[in-house]
Amino acid sequence: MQAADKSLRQSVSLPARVARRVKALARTRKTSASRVITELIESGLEAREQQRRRFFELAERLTSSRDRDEQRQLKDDLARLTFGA
Amino acid sequence: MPKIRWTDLPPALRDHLLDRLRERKITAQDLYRLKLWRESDPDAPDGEWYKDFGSFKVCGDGEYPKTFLLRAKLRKVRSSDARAFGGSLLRRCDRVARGATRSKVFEEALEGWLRNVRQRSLEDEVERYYSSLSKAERAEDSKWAGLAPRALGETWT
Repeated sequence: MQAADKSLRQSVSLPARVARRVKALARTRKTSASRVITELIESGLEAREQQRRRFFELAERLTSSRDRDEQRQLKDDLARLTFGA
Repeated sequence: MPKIRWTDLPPALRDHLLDRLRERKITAQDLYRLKLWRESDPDAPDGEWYKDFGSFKVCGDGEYPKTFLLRAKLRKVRSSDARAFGGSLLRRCDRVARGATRSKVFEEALEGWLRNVRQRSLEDEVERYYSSLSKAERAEDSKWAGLAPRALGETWT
């Protein structure tokens, strides 16, 4: 097993509402809460990475676009990502 | 503690920043840092605040981000200010700064100057109006001026 794949014991405080949902999910899937938390964190990290890639892709398209309509659309998308709704 | 409000940003202000991104005057990396900072839901400080993102700064007042200052622009001003304003003016500026930046001192000085210009233009306007009146109009105006405070007194008492 590579060092990066080693498991580390971490103590994390979860809001009660989240902890309840994690337990319920673990029961449904017949697995441990620890496993569910790991999967959720992994998918959260993946989603964040995808969002980061999308952000930079939009920024790159904006800098190279010569079309005004496309620029408008790209600016709207980037504004939504940067400043929220 | 109130939070900084990002959703009420005027579209023109957002566009200004994104246009600078298009012109490569700010970097996508720095804009992404702003996004991450916004997502951390930062508390709104009391009064004016600044947050540096490298190629630009966000300047705000309380809950509201007010403007974005570009580093390129700031650097240009800083490098030319000694030539443009002269050393003695800058030294005087530093004396009154009391810990504030030169930019801040210049900003306040410009605001004061604009207030004075507005005030002067208003006074000129009033003066022009009165000089354009005929003798009869002036007499009527002064009669009205006498009546107005009296009428006001009656309304408020």
